[in-house]
Amino acid sequence: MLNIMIVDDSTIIRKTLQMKLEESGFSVIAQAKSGKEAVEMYGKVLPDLVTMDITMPIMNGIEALKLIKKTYKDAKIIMITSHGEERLVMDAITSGAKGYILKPITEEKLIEAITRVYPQCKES
Amino acid sequence: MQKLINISKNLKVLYVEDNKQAREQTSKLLSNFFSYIDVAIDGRDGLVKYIEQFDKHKSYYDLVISDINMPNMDGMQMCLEILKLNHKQPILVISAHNESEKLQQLIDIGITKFVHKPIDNQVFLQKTTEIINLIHSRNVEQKRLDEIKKLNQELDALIDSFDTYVIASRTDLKGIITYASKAYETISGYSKEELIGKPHNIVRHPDMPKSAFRDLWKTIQSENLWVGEVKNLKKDGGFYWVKAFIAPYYNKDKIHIGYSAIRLDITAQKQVEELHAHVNALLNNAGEGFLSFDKNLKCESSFSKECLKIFGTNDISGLDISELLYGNDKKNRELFCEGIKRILESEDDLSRDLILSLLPKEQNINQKIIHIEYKIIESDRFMLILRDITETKKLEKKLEKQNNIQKMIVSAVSNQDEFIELKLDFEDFISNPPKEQKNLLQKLHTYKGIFAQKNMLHTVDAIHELESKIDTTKKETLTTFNEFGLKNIFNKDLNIISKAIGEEFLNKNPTIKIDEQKLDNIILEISNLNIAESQKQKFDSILSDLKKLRYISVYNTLKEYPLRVKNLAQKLEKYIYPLEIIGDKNIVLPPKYKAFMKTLIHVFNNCIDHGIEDIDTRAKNGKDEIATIKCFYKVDNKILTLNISDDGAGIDTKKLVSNAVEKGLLERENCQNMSEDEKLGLIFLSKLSTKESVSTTSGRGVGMAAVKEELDKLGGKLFIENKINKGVNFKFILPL
Repeated sequence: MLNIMIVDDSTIIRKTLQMKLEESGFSVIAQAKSGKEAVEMYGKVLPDLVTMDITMPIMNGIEALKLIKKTYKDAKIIMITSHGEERLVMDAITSGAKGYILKPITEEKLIEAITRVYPQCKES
Repeated sequence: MQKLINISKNLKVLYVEDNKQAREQTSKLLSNFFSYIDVAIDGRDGLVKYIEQFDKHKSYYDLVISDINMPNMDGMQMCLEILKLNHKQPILVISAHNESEKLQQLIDIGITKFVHKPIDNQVFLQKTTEIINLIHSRNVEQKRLDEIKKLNQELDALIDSFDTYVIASRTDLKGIITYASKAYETISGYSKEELIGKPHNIVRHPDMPKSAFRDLWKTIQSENLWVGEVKNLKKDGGFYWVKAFIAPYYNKDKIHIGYSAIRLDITAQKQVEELHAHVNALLNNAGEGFLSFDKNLKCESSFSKECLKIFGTNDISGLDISELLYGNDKKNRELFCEGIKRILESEDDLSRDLILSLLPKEQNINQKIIHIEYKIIESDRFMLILRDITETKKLEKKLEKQNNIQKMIVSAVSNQDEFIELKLDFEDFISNPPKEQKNLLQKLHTYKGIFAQKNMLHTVDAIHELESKIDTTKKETLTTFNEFGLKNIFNKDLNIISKAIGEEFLNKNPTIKIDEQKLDNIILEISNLNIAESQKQKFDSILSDLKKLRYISVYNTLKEYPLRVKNLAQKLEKYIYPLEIIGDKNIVLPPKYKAFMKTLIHVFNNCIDHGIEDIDTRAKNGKDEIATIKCFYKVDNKILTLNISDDGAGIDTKKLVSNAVEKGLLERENCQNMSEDEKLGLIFLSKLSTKESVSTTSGRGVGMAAVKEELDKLGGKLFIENKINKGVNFKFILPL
């Protein structure tokens, strides 16, 4: 079972993500409300995977991704994005993001993105 | 003499002599001629050395010089043994006179010369010269024979490989085969016996057009070389392709006696060409545009025909693909270029695939909607698959429209009374539009809001179009309105409904309806009756009941808003809690309040569209992501207080002022001294809206003006409590 950390400033999206992830058999072990919180939290929980919103106050998802990647080269991070953020997503991928999910978030999109990173958990 | 020594110097000599003195003397003499001399002391020693020489050097001595009378093995015996090994061995025998007869057999067998003892120098020189010349001429001859043999072998090999590898044939002047190579047999499947004597068209393939052979014959009959590609028939029914070189063939006397041909097997090449043509045909007929481009975004020269149709051009090779695809769409073009750049820089497949998936998938090219699929080939080249999806999109739109029609029908059916009343009101509005422009626009705008909630899309779009027309035209508003033919469009929507659920729906009155005018007349008549004082109280109560028939329930009027608010919020992707209407359900209002209550839709629209922020902004500002809109009312001392509030961003008065100035509704110098309330009052100005763009929902700045208009008619007042980032409360005070 994969341990997942959710990073999103929106309570609704965090709740939605948690619900959908848990329904799909993943374990949500941590939630951060900003990029800054995510960077601080990552080392403590060392999740197998992070879902990272791009637009967040205090520190955005791309900065957080870069900081986490700096210390933890193998961190697996998937970006959560909206239409019109394509260039930001490209930036994130070039900086080492392992995937992205375009809102609205659905279970299919989540599983597709996660199995891309962890092909072994196709049926979990 | 010198010439002789030049030859003899290179000869290898074995000298056999048992007498030491004679050996030394003769050796000295021999050394004048030979530089390579082995010496043996008797016949046996000589034979052993002779054999050793061959073992070591794989060649015999050129000359053996031997004595006859020797111990162990005499010279006679030794020479016979040597001649058994090498019958061509030249031998010079040094012998006594009485031994001549004995030596006759040596003469019979090989090349042997004799020198008699005691050695006469002159005779020895003569005999040696003879034998050396003999040896030399024999060596020269041998060498020549060896060379001829080698040449013959090479020639044989050449002929053999020609036969094996060159598909060659000859025919006579009539085309009858006179020669065929082994390679010809191999490729055609016929044996030489089967070919020779047959006409050459034995291998003609039915696929070859007759005209090709006409050209061939014409060329070779005029004694010229013909070169061409020919498909030939195998014995087993299969085929092979050759490139043939056919030329006239002449005999020794230079007389033209036939034709000779050699051919190259090009079957594999032809198969590749055919495959290529086949694939091209497939690609050209797939109805999709296939093309490839390099890292500099230049289109490569192979692409399917559909590409030309899509781009509306004759050729695309060498053109910039980003310009072809996106033209003036700067945003998508930049996104594409950025993506390709990053893919070229990227090193892992996952990143490349992810970036690829972010590139624009649909693009308007020459009035067509084109779906674009991107693929990476060979790490720095790309392939595109383009598909015209204009029709698919049209179909999707049609389906969406059908979906909306269903919604329209459902909303009409779900409240038939209300719908019929709305219909009658609107029809009355169309045939008797208000004379005053402002009034007309406000009413029109109110209807647009109502019809939008009822999914009457033709009508909504038409009103939207009409509003835009009135905005831009110089004509009289009323004229534009009357010319527009709103009734026809409204009827289109009504027809859809009656077609779906029956004509009776729109004509049927489920409740008994009394014309307002008639009711008013009855009331008037009753109040004008001369009634006895004793009856007056009773009549007053009847009168009041009758009047109340025309009254409207505040709650019932407001009841339709929660659904409308929910629909609108969904449409604008705003998250809100369900709207609650809080107030006494028994409160009723005289009919004149009805128009005002209907305009309240603009207040709700305003809250949702302008007030409530999107979810990300609310989260960023630390607010509950789900917004709240409240509506409550009460009656105190014949005064109705109605509150509509939201917890959105509040009204940006600065923006209101600058918009008003920009639109020429306000002088810049006048706004310095304006109070906050005065600035807020600007929202009632027609034509003023803080929204940048005009949508079918709001943004024209007519809605709030309509509210104010109706409010003024009733002598009511509106207080706006505006708190930036906390929200707005619209507080209506109405005297009853």
